Amino acid sequence: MKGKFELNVLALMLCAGAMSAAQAYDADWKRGRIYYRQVCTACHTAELKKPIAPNDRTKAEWAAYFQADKHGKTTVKHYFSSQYRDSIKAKNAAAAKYADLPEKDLIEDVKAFVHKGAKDGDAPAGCN
Amino acid sequence: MRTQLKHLGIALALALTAALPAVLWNAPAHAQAASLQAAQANYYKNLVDYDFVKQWVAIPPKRGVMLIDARPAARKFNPGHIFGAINIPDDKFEQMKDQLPQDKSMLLIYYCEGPECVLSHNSARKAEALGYTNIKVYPNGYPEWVAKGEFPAVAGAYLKKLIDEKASYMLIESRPKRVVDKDGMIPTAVHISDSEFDKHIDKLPVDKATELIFYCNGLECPLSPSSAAKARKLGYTNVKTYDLGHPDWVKLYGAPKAAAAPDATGGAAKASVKIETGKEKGSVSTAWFERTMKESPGALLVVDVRDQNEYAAGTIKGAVNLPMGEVAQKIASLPAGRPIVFICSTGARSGEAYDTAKLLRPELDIYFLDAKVRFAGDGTFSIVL
Repeated sequence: MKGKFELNVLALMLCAGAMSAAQAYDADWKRGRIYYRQVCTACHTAELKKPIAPNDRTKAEWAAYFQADKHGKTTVKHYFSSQYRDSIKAKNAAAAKYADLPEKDLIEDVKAFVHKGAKDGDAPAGCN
Repeated sequence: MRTQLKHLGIALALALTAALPAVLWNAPAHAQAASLQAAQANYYKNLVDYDFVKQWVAIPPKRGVMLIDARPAARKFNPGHIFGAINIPDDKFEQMKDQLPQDKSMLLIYYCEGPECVLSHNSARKAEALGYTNIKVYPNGYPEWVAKGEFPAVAGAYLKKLIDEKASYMLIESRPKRVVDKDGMIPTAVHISDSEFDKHIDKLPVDKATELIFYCNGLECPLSPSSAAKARKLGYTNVKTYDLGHPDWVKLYGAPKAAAAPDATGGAAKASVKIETGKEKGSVSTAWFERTMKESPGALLVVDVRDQNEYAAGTIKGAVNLPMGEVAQKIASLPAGRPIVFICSTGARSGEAYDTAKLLRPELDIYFLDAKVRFAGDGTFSIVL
């Protein structure tokens, strides 16, 4: 009896640990929105002549996109890297302001934003 | 007599032979087409080169010279001309000849669109017929001027067109703060004073091909050409100046509206309005907003961040339009005198405008309306609960 109780407590603790690890970073979708418009959209508009809006894709498509991590000749992660932010921060206030953020947090922020703004998201978001 | 004539003939032949290479040297070697030869046959007798013209284009402007652009206004002169030139299109010579100087011995330098263009030569001959005695033509004209690295100068009408068409450009005010506080800025201008240029390069657009137009106080003022040179050093490839500057704009289109200029006289704004905040950080209470817009609308600067079509279809009376996509680019044009409240149709874009403005100009007193708004189209609105 005693052994079973201890096993259950252990199981609960492990679950709690796993859950808190998953919730360790509370993505800031508003920050993601700023980064997306000020850093990503500026180039999309310049290079592609039109922006890529969050509501251009479904949540699943956005998730797959980040998973594949392909962006033209380079990766999606490249555009969140400290090196990239440093290289543009002289002319880009958002890159400068967020220069010291961990790369993975910033990616989560933008993921949260496009997820929320996706075609089938909570609040589909266009660019204008 | 015959010998004299013979000598005269030889002299003329020699003179022509000497003159012709001088003309051909300036013409691009590959353009010896029929049209070029036809043009050259109509060249005016007194020709000058880039170095000659350059010495007469200065800040402050040199006295005793008038530089005349003989090209059409809207298509050619307005989008780009030599700094300080006036426009008397050749086909309007008769109507506009009173713009020529009273002093008929003043140096007139005509130019137009390059070696194949005869407008300047035609105008030069017409001016000579009026009795002007010191006329030159710069045959390589505007294309060479720009090719040599000189900045295009634009006309007020061209700038007005860009503004009205909401084209892609950035207009930059180069004068210092104390002047701008007194004078206001041309609409849509971003303030980067020449003296503090290096501190504000973050206001310049990310895309280095964006058309940049610098202006200051007119032909006597060196600030905008100085800033233009700095921008070019940063890698901007499409840099121009509005040579006649702010005084010309005021003459053509009137002084900037009080709402656009930084609060100088501060009538309504002196009674500082007490903001009631809403639930979302940075938002205002919807009830407070409705009350304030009824009782003292001038106490706030309402900025509608929807796109221009939505704004034109119906906004809140007194609101100015700054589409969300342009907030970062035009952040410097937001004045500091009154609290600013961003609005849109759902609170999404206005919230983003708030976050963006807070990031770029934290010193401003900014808020947003976090609500669904219905715009009646006549300046009135209602908040949908």
